[in-house]
Amino acid sequence: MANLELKELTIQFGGLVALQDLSFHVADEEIVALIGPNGAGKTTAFNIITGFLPPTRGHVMYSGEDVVRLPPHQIASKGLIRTFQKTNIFSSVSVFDGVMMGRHCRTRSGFLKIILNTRYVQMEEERSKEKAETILDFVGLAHRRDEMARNLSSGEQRLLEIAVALAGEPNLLLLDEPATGMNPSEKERVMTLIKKVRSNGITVLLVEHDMGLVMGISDRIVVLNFGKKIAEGKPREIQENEEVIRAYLGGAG
Amino acid sequence: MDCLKQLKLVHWIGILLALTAPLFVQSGYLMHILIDTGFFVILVTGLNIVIGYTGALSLGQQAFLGIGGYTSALLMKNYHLSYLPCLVAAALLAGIGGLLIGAVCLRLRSHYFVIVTLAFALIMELVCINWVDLTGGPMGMPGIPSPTLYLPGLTNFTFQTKTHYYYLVLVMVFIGLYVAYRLIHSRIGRALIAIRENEELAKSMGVNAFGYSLFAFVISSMYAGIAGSFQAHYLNLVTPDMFSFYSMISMLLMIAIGGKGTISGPILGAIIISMLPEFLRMAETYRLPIFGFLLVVVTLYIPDGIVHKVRPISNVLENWKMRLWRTLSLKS
Amino acid sequence: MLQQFITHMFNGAIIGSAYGLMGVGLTLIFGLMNVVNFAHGELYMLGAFLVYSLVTILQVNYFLAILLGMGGVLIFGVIIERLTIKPIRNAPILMTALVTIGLSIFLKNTALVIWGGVPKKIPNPFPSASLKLGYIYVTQPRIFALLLTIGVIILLHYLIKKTKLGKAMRATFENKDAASLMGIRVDRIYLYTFGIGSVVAAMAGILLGTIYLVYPTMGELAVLKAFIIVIMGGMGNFVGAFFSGIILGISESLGAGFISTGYKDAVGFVIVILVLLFRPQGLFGE
Repeated sequence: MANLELKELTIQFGGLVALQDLSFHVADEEIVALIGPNGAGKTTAFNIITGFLPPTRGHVMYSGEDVVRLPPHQIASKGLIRTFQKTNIFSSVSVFDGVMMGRHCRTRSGFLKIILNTRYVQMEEERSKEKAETILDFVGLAHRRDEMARNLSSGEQRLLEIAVALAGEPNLLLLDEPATGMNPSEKERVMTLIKKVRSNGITVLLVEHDMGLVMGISDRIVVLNFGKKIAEGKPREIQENEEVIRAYLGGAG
Repeated sequence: MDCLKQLKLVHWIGILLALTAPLFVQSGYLMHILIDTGFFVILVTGLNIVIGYTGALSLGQQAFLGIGGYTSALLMKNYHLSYLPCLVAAALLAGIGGLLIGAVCLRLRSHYFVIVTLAFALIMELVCINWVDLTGGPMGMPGIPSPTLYLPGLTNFTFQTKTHYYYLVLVMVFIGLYVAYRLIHSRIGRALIAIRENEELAKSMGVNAFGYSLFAFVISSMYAGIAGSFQAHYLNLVTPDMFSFYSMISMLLMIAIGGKGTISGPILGAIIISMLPEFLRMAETYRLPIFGFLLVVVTLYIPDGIVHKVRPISNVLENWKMRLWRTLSLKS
Repeated sequence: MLQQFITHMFNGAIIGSAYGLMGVGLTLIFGLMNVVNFAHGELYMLGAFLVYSLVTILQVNYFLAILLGMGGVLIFGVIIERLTIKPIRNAPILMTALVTIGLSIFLKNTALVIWGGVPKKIPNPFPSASLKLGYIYVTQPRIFALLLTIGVIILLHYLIKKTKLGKAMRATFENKDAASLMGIRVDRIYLYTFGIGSVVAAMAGILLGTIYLVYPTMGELAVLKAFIIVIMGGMGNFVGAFFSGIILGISESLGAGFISTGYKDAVGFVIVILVLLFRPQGLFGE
């Protein structure tokens, strides 16, 4: 059960207003894409939603709760998990270990129990390992499980990022440009993966530049330009929206 | 005990040697070195949790060593408690010190963290030297009683000979290594490694980076407190030297040579650094320049430590053991 | 009482200006290049010992010895940078710290072996009589040190702000990738910066060695105070570092004079902790 609502999110750096009264919502189990020319404020919005940046004004309502200004790790434990624009992985550990690390917010074992190696701890470890294997199968990286993360191709690393995020059992998954650095067949894989993720009950909000991918999987699209929302609607509507076309042709990017 | 299954042949050989050492080591001097090695293993295993696993270079471990030592010494000397309460108090006070100092230092970026942990340790050293009423000043406090094990009705035993101390430190070493092993191979250990590898990513996965770093810092300081308590009652003496940077140098060298980020690494490092000077019959004056030189060379050319070079040998032995096991079980 | 106070202030300021010089050298290396160079104090110490040996053993003129000593440390600094700093430039700070700590231990204790632990005095041509300025008595070496320090700071300030090299340095420290794309030889810049920083450290060591004494561990406390000053001054701010040095010197002097000499060195440590907690950009930083 995850719905996200941004209310008048505004952020100002000195004289520059990076986001102006941004409001939109993402309904449960929707796939919504946030698009716009470079510098429109998309990743900034992500950073605010996930607690990496405090806004000047505004609210981020997640399942009815205002999570704005909470620290990133708390937001993640509530089920709001993100990936990053620039590939962000644990490069010196194996693929499997990386996914195991993603399990952190869904495990509870405390220090004392760990020292005594109680049955609870052992059970939790077993469950985590099973979950990790399942997720690796799900994203299609099971055959690379023992490989060190830095040895993966860039497309595989992006998949690993998604796997690590999924390990946290999110209700809302925020993907920041998941298809960057991927060839067409890898992009196909990602598209299928995102649809699979949604059919498992996870809501998806993604930032993406690849229009083919965006049009292919989104239920709705929100368009930003210079920090303001200029359009919102179904893919077909957005394609035909004059202001959107002008923004992409006229502006930078 | 599943962790016993994880132990390889080399580890069992090591454990066997450790348990039986007093049988074939006759020289009191050599026993002292072994005990000293044990003391350092506890110290660097703790420090490695912060430096190797969390990735934060703390130069303040000696502060907690001193806090533990003086706490334990003062309690036993002035209140005549038996050893266990003193040990616990030493660990607790060192842990509190770790909590306070860590809470301040861990907010800072890594460049500043290094300097501020050192600054705190130096302040503590000065306090120890100058607060003569409490600590006995620059000369320290001699006459610290030896540890006693007092279990009412069962035993009232005082540790006296080198062999006694050896087994006492060995027990502490085994417990310390066990706790570290459990910690590292758990979600907490994974969280620490995540912080070390990529703090931003760790946070986005739900890891409270500050909280876990602080936790690691406190655990590490408690290890130091325990080691300090042991040393105070082993040497029957505490001096401000416990707070000095010299022990930090040894610790850094042990972690660097042995291999940070592993559990066996610091053990190997402690053994090498404690025993090497003796085997080379080195004059005290040359020991330090060589330490310095070694630290430079090891950091530049063997950054992951010797433990990774030893791994192939360990694996070979492991294969022999497997084959032996198989032949034996086929026969029966 | 007032005379005491003023004397403490003035002596503190003089010491502080020498700290300031150390801090200025380290500002280049730590404040701008972000290298946690624990061996900085040993460069300072080497400068002093080189001059000592040149003057006492080779009977070289004091002022010439200063130049030669600085040159010697420059060569040393270059060797250190090429061999030990450059390979780990992009490695985590842990590596740099370990290497420079190792270097520091090695140099300090080798100096101990070579020259022995007994503190030495550098024979200098300044007359031993003090000058009287108003309330205070001050010796000539101290005036010399102060003048030289101010001169060096002015020179460095000019170098960084007005020369082509200075511009290249600033560009590199701000964004080394962009700088290298613009054609700046980033590797060279790092080398020059480290060299200049070393020479300035050597000078500080020589001056303080002249005023006080020379001994192998003289760099230990000095380097810590230099780090403190760089942080107080705002990481990369020469003038800030200089004035922070003076503030530190005066604080220590007053602390030692009116509270207790034993805790004198703790003053700096407490200050840096407070600064980092409440004003992390430094007293003089933006």
